[in-house]
Amino acid sequence: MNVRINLRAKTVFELKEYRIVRYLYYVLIRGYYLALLLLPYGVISLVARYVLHPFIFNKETRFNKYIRSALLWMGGGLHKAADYRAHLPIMRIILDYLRHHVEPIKNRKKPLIYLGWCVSPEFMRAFDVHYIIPEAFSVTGSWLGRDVSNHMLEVLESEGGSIESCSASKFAAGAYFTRQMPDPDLIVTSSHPCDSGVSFYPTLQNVTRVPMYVLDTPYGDDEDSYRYFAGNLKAMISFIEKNTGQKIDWDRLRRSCEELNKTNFYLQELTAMTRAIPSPVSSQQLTVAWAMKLMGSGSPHLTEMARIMYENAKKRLDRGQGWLREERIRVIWWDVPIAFVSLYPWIEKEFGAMIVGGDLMGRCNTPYVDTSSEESMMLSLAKVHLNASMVRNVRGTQELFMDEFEQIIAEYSGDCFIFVGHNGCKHGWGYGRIKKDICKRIGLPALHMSSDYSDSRNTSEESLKKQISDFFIGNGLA
Amino acid sequence: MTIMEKMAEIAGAIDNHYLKEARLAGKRVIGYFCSYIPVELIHAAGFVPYRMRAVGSAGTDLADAYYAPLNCSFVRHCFDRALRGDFGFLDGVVFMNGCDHTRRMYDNWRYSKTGPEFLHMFFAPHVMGGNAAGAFRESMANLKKALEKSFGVTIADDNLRNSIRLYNRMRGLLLALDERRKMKSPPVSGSEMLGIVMAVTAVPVEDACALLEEVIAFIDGRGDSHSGDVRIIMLAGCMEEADHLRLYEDSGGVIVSDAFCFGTRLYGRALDENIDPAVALAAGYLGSEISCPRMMDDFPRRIEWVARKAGEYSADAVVVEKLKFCDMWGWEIERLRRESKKGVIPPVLAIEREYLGGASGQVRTRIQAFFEQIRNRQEIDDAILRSERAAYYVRK
Repeated sequence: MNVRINLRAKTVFELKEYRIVRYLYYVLIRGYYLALLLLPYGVISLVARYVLHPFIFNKETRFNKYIRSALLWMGGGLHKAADYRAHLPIMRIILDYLRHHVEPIKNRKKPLIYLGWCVSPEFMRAFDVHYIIPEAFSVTGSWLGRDVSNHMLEVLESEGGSIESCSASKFAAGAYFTRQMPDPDLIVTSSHPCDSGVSFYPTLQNVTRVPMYVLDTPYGDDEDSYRYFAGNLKAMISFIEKNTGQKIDWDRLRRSCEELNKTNFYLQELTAMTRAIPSPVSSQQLTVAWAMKLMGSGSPHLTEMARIMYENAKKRLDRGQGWLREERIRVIWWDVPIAFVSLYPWIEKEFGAMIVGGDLMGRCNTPYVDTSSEESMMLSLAKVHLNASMVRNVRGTQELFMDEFEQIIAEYSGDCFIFVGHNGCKHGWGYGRIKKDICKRIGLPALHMSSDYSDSRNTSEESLKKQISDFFIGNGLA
Repeated sequence: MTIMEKMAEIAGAIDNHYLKEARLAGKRVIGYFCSYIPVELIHAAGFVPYRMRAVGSAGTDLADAYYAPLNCSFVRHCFDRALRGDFGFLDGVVFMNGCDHTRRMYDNWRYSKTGPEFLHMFFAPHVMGGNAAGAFRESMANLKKALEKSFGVTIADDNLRNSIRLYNRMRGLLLALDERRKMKSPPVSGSEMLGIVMAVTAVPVEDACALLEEVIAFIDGRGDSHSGDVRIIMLAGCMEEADHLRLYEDSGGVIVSDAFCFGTRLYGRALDENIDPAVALAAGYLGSEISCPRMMDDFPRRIEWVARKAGEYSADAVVVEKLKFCDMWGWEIERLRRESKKGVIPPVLAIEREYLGGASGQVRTRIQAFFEQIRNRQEIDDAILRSERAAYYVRK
């Protein structure tokens, strides 16, 4: 019996096969050329600030749902003309990534690998392969509106998938079952950061029936752990070589790593700059940069994006100028940031609130890759993987999370703490008391909210906004 | 008191007189959390390994201050008991990165400064193949080092070999019991078997072997099920409630095989006694008969196990239970259902529940409805079989 056909049968869901990818590709290609035309004149900034903001960003309606989320991820919530230039390379990164979807759909000439989101794509650049990150659908998939997101989750739930898992995994499975992703030839994933990924990928393998390699992740954070993970990375290379019939191109890997080093330099500087009062960097930028790293790590476009953001922020820092005209609240947001991508521009505009220190995803704190030899490259790539955003904090003991949290509190002069606990992050809710005690000890007002960033059935954007408003007002911050 | 009642009594309490006697004799007791923790290592140090449990927990009030409602109810109950001092007889606890909920228990336990002093995290890989065996051996070396350092003992290879031999004996006796469940009328019910496994993991292994011999002698010749009972294989992680299993038995079911943490997942392994003990332990624990859903690359073997057991134990159905908010079992259910639809394994009933959560009325209704379906299906299958045979004989 062909299971896949049975499982991926048409549902009442009207989303046609590969529609999300085709739509995104179509919109981005046009958006890219339009941006090329308009950017030099700063027109986009003016349009975004005075025309789009009131009609697009306040809330999702049936008129704006097909463009709202995409525009926000493209930087529509920003209001600095100079920073919009960084969004040209962003579009290029997304377009390059979407080609990995579109080309295998049209005509498959190279092997296609499903890549777990915790496996950095530099390795894929060293092979002649396409790669798709299934969880990335939870970001890009929402660009067609929240009802589409919810429907994807419902499709998965109707297939009997785990309803309590992270919506990134659920969305990815929904995308597979609704034929938004072409079938893979291989799956490469890891056993971190949480149970959702650990339990979801065997399902993906079960329905696709292709070979899967799991990068087992150590619990510790010492040299032995890094060496173990480096050994697993080597085994992963052998697995890909064996199953694709290709040999890894070490020069291409080296070039990607060098590019990644440059990107990380800029992003780390940007993260550090948020210490300044007022902060010259918006967390919107850092979060978008994280998402771009997810799709295009090792790409020169990523470096270009980070460089533009960095240079603009540096100018503001040198002038003592903040991102906002008036920064009134400094927020530490130490958890999954993309609860609703529209929340960041909203709290900036509504309350003059800046997120400092970067959020769990956007905070860049990644070691450099030593490209001097293959051996050193593998060991430092192991460190990069195990210290990637979120991964470094949640894969092991609570100290990996809390020590950095306390460091951020000490260094970034936050006025309050907002924890948007994702329903899938069981481990995050598992140390709620420790987090609360830290805030209490330091005297930092804290808001703990429950949400699911892809699932507005769980918590609506409006209810999150209300909780944040009440929190700011209740604590005398606004 | 019969031996079965004695086993149920031991299983129903946190502490028991065997443990008390061991403590009076100067033995240390070390709790451990998961079926992947090599208990032989703890035993070889001269200690009594004690499988952690939360039986008899009255609530989660204290633990709720550390966890959220969407954390596993077993973990909250167990931690609650720890916070109340119910595990005060333990000299140490070994945790494992089994799932997100249990690994946070290690953090909360340390943070709350709840004794004992010796708290150790044992890292077990999420895969069976590749470098996993090496990583497992390294974790064992770390545990060995930690035990030796904290308690001033030496774990010699000879002691380890002896412990492997003893635990192999205990597992062998449990497997011999399990074999008897293949019979048309199994002499031991699923709820009794759960009690037996819970009891033998709460007493010194030497006592456990003696108890198991008594159990085998007692049950031989017994028959516990009736014709028409639905023979089921039960799959679950944390299952400690014999009362809950009796819901199935009282509804006309007989549990002929199980994959519980207090079940085949614990005793379904035989370690090689003739090779290097560390190698034997890593191979035995990673390659156990049925793995936990946390093992990412082992679902094909798990499904093959269920299919094989269904044949060997003449099972009519599979019941899989998960505790709320368990991702591992949530996705495992999805995969099992798919394989069931394909006919690889018998029909599947999936039940979601809270640990000590009650709701027996609802569960019973679902069980009865499912058994009704199975019986109807059996009648239809029998009718088809009869008609096919008739046709066969006519053609002949």
